[in-house]
Amino acid sequence: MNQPMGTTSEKRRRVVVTGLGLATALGLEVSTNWQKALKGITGIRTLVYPGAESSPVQATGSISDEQWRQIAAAFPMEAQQQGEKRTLFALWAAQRAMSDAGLDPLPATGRERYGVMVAAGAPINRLEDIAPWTDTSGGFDLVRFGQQYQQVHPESIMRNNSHRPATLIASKFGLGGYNGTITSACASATQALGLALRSIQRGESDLMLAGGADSMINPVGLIFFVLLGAANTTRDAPEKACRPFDRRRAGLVMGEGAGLVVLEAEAHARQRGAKIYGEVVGYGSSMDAYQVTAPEPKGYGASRSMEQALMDSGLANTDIDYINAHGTGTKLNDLAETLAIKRTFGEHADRLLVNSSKPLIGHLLAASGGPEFVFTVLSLHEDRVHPTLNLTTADPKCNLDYVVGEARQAQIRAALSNSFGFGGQNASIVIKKYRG
Amino acid sequence: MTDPVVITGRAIVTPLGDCLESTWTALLSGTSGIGPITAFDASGFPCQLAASVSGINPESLDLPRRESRIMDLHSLILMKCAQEAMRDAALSGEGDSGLEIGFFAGIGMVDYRTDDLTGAVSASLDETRQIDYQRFYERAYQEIFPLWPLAMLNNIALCQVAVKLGLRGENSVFSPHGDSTLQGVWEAVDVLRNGRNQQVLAAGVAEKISESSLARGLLHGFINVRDSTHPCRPFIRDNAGTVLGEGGGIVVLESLSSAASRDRPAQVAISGYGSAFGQADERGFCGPSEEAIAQAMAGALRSSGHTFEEVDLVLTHGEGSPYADRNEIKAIRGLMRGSKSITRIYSSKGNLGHLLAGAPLVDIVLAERMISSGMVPPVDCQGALIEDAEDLLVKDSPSRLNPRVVMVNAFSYEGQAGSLLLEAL
Repeated sequence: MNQPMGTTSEKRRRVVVTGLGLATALGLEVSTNWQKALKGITGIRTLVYPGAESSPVQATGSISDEQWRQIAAAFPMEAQQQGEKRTLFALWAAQRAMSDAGLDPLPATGRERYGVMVAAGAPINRLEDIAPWTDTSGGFDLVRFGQQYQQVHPESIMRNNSHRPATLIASKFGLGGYNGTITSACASATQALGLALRSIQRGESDLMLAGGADSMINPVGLIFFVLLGAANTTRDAPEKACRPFDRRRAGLVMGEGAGLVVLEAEAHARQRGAKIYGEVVGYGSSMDAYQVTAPEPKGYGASRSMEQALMDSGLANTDIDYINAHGTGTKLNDLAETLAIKRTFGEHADRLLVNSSKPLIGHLLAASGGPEFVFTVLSLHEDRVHPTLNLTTADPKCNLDYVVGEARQAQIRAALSNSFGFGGQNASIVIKKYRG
Repeated sequence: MTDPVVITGRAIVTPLGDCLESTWTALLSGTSGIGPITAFDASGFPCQLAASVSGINPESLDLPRRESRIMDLHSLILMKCAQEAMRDAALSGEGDSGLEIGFFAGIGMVDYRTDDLTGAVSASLDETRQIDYQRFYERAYQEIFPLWPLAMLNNIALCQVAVKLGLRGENSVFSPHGDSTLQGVWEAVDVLRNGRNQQVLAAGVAEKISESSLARGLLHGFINVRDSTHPCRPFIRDNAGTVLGEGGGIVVLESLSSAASRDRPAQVAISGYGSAFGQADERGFCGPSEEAIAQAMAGALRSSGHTFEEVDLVLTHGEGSPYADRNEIKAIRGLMRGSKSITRIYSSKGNLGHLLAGAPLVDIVLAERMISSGMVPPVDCQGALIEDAEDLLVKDSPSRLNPRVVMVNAFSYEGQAGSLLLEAL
């Protein structure tokens, strides 16, 4: 039976994580991803793409051809019909998360209270959807396009609505409840997780598949952040290209893939005897309202997002042991995030373990909060934190305890994951060890 | 409801006007905003009609030129509505007050302007007029305006408003259709009910009508290409699809106690929401099933504590497509079973076109006006009605129904359904 929306946090239902699913450049299984992450093995490689040798971007965390064949073999019909590969990444990670949660197959009853909340990134803009209708003077022949629009490619923005991944997941797995798509740039997946949390807390859903899937590793997508001056365009060795918090950091490195988790009402999870990784206890979001082209340099917006999440969790800032940072490897983000962590946590900031997962898998953009939440959950569950790769010459202004070198064993009572979006949207989510 | 969430500010832009008053007056007189597409040459397309918005320009919104260059129509509409809704609610984001103002929006698909990319495309073509990616990467990409990528991000319209007005509270962007806008409204209600912000702007805006959005609608099969005389006729037996519209709106929400403390008048509360997913057919682009629609409506009733008998009026999704209209009527009839009275229904899409993510927000503002004025405009629906819709639809002329409890429905084409309940205080 549906419960009315609570008016105070005391009335909220508890929410736990019961399933994890990933598709990243490190692998298609959560265990593979985690083992490589702990060992400090990166999935970032030299870009392989038509004309890529001339691309200003050379390093990406791409899903390999072999991985893609594995995904396509698992979903042959969808691989044939769906235009965007990120939709397939989402399906793969969803299936893995459902299976991990012991929900494959899904019970026949209660599906109207099972939902999906997924992040979606920028659409694919294909030059080939313009070229055939460009005349010799450089103009676009609208009349001819109007007669031939059916010829646009399956992955065109004209054939793919942003909610395709959420739709397909719900349709494939029979999830008949709340179904949403978040498009808040790189804050999207953490917002999707937070809003899925809210839906369960309010009693509107019992279970939500949440996270994100994205890929901008396509010709126009590759130059997206080059134009904005945020991409690493150096000729660094690919595995060294993403260097969060390092003095020589030179911009973000794109990745692709998906990270989805099963969030579930605690009572529902216990009733079916589900394995519980941790409890999601707080979520916060904020806007910088500074500039759409740069984060607020002192980290005020980012710290408000963390403070909101902490307040929402009911935890003290000293209860947090670990932060999975947004840590993009851009000059502006890493400094602003460091300042924000210091402002939020005060003296406790020096006792926090901090890392960034982006040197392992690249920046998954709208989806980034998905895999990073999975890593955060695993850190909490196993009391181990993976290293931040390529942080060899610390920026003196970025002077927190970033885990470097080897994975760190430490008691993690509670952890926080950050995601900040281009334009100035920030999101933070807090999990803690589950105590029944 | 101990402290209801109420509407204290509102602004809309529709094909019938750039404000609520002009839209409302035109709706009462049965005026249609649908006409030939003039923004681009649509003569090659099988549909040349749309409900377009005109007269919104950056100069009137006091925007820096560099930023307005990346603002397409949807961004300008959102900015205009935000400025006006804040004024209407007597709110300012200046100083610390912006910390307490959140912003949730449903935003449609954001398409590229072909002109933004044709320079790069031309410079990338080889002798056979195929794209040569080496040329593109080496220099042709530099033909693209450096801030163009921002224009392609779905969230930038929201962020530009936040920067301009100083909004720094909770936020999210949902997309791409009407159901997403209702999700944003409900999350805004959650923020306020739990005291996380003082006020929240809830928005919905459609993408601009362009060659890309028109192609998308045609490829997905929901645009009427059969009947150019009556391009959008909700609940008509032989209806043939919908017509795209432009526009959107914003409401300012806050708790009744907050409104009272600021001496702001409020007449309508948002009290319930429900949602569901279920596709009407295997093709996947015919909207939600009857069961999903009924589930969403039942969810809104449950969370508000109302029965369907207590709902005086449903502002239906009613888009003029065969599947969506029939399934919605069946769901309404199903909920009405056993009821002593009938619940009247209304659709704005015959006059305004289908504003996609903008539609439910405009409907919320119209619902508020219907509650406060007691009047319901007539639905533009010439032709024989679906049988089950006969006695439900408000048609021919405005009716004084004095609705007190109103439901707003909004669907996506891919199976998502949402319902929101509004009620008079």
